[in-house]
Amino acid sequence: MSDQPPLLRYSPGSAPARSLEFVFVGREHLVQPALDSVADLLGDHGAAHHLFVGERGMGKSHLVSMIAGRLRRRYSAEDVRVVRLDEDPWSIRDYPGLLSAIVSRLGVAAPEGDVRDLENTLTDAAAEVPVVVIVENLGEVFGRIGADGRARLRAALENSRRITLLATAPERPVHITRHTEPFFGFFDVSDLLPLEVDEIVELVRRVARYSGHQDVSEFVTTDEGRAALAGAHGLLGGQPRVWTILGEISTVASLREPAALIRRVLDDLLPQYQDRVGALPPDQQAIVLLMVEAGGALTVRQIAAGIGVDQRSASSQLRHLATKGWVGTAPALTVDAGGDRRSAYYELREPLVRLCIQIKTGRGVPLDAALAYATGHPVAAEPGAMIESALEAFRADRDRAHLMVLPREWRTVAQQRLAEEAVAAG
Amino acid sequence: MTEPLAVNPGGSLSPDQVVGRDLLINQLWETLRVQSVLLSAERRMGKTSVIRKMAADAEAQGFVGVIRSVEDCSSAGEFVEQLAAGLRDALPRSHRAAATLRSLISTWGVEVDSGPIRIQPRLREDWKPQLQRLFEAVTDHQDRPVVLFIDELSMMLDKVRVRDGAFVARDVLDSLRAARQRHPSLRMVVSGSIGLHHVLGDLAHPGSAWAPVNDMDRVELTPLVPAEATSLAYRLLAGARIPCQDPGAVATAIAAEVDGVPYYVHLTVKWLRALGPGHLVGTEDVRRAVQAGIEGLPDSWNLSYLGERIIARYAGSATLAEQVLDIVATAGPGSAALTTAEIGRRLGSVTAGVDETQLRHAVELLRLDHYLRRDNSFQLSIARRYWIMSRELV
Ligand SMILES: Nc1ncnc2c1ncn2[C@@H]1O[C@H](COP(=O)(O)OP(=O)(O)OP(=O)(O)O)[C@@H](O)[C@H]1O
Ligand SMILES: [Mg+2]
Repeated sequence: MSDQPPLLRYSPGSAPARSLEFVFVGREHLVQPALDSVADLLGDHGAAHHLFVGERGMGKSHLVSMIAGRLRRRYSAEDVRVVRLDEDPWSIRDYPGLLSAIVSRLGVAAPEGDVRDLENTLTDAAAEVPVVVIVENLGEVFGRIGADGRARLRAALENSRRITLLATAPERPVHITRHTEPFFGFFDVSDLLPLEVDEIVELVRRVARYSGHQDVSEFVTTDEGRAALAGAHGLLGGQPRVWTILGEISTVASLREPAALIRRVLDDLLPQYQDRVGALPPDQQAIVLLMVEAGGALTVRQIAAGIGVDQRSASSQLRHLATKGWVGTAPALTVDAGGDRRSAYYELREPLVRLCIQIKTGRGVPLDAALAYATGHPVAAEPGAMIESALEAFRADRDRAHLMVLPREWRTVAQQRLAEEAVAAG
Repeated sequence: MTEPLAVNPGGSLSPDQVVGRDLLINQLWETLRVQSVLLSAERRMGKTSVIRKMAADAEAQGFVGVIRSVEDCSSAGEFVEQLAAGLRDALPRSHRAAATLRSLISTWGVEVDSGPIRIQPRLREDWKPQLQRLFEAVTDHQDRPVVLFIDELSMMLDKVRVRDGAFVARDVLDSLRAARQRHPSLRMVVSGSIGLHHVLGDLAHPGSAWAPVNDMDRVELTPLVPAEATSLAYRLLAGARIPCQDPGAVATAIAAEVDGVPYYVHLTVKWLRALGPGHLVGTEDVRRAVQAGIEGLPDSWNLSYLGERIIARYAGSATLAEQVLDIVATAGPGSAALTTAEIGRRLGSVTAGVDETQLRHAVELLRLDHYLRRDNSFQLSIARRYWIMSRELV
């Protein structure tokens, strides 16, 4: 398949449907509910509006392209009209601009007159044939149409019930989380989570095949290949774009010695992360840096102490970071543990953030050690000294704090070890 | 009814997707035979869904029903246009008022039979007589009474206030009230997501006795009763094809854990669906789902408004209101509800010099905003759990 068009990693909106389907991994469960909602829309059983949230590279455009493609194949234009707005909403300056963009894509002549005429044109068209509107960067669009535009839009949607929005956003827009906003709680929100190792193996296999690297696509399904990807996953996390890049550039030889490969991917991504960290307010930057340094998960108390603010403001900053997709709740331990059970642990959702910042600042677990560990010691092999000492401390008092300080991927290794020990002990 | 139903947290339901509410709806129709209704509730509780189900049934109840969400109206003139268009489309041609309404519309210089109604600017500016004529037109007969379901009136009033001034917004409310009094065959069901009391507070002259809605029966929409919530959960589980150990037990657990709030029933089932088809769901999963909704990051159930609204809207009473909730939240779910006096006593040990009037005012606000019941207990255990978590009260 080496004569295939490139995968257009940065603009799936314009990729051919066939290639999108081919490399679509780990998001299938999000497609069906959206298709079901459209079926309900067509049957006059109300309108559900979906919002897919994921940071850059998480596969939002890919997902909505897939949904649009399937809708176009399943239905004719007499059943439902699917309208897709530009990914970058620069051309939408205000609410009339949004309406005109939709109306013109419906092929309806824009009326002379004001907003109300535009609204009527849209809802009249939808009364004939239901409309699905795909909107990317929802928060940006909502910002541009203003408070009055948002109120009018919600009224139009509620009064018509023949229009469904399929939206994406890099973070939850305030226009759906703030109680006084018309769209408060209006969208069915789904997060695009990082891919798991199995899904990554499948993605790399497909991308390699698509790019004509048959040998790579076979190698990654062997134990050795899988272990190499699992090790790299510990460092790179589960962003599909990362693995699409990696799938396109890897060879069997480079996968056997992946440090250089990983560095190439990181170099490709570094500017993107620098911009993102740079755009955070100072307190939130401080929390991110603290988490990079810690490597593992932290409690609110630890974070407050670490950046020198009180717990209330630490926890409110943490919430902001979580809304923007930086931070998540650390998963519960799979082993029996004590310690301070009431407080939750938080950690960076994307290990990539950690790596990119480490490259810049040299802080935290040294990158070279991390690279060597991840690439030289796949999940099943001997854990490093940090894991060993954490295990030791944990065995002594079974306080989970000892395990939480480990980076997530090492924590998994430690938990596995403990589970094996438990089994061995009967 | 056990038909499968699609998960739809937050979207616009069609009447057939609105589960339960039957008893309430019957009571509302009874009330409407004598009086108009002001329907209030916490956001997302299901106000719009209720009135939509009623509007679909209006004819069977002997009414002509018109339902409209009016948050798109920024002026009183637009409001008149929207009502007129809705009435025109709802009145059957055979209805005695249909012809009168048509001749009124023709005086506005617009297409009579279909399409948007745009009153000529000069008449539109002078909206009040047009509104009066509209109500006269549709009530001037011995035919079926008309019920207007006006959703998001508070949002519209707020926009009118900002654009044209408080007196115009007051005028709209006064005109609606006058119409209710003048026309015995006209009823309204008014609802909105911002509490009308907040908007009235912004509109009233301080200290005035202005009460433009006190002729209406105030009905507070509470959660679904347990049987309804269980049936909703059951149907959503089936619609999402979620494998359960014991679907009945899971549905019952969902209804109980979310206090019967339908929106949270949808969200819980959505969370359970994400566990995947390979996971056999049990009641323990339900507890995890609700816990994640309340405590998980990001705040997926959007409960942070519980704290934010107090800071944004309670002005001088904010701190006091927070302390009241702290006390109520930690009083223990099993223990008897606290009287306001008892709250005052306990507050006394927290802050010196708590003024009795201030305290009563704060408690009243908390009731109007659906935090507290009349007996000062939390209306929703979810709100209580969120409050304890976010204020770190354990
Ligand atoms: N009776 C019901 N049966 C099933 N689902 C319901 C019911 N009532 C409400 N819901 C759920 O709650 C959501 C919100 O309902 P609705 O729009 O009626 O609330 P609302 O009170 O009008 O909200 P707002 O104050 O924001 O306008 C619906 O999208 C649906 O998920
Ligand atoms: Mg509503």
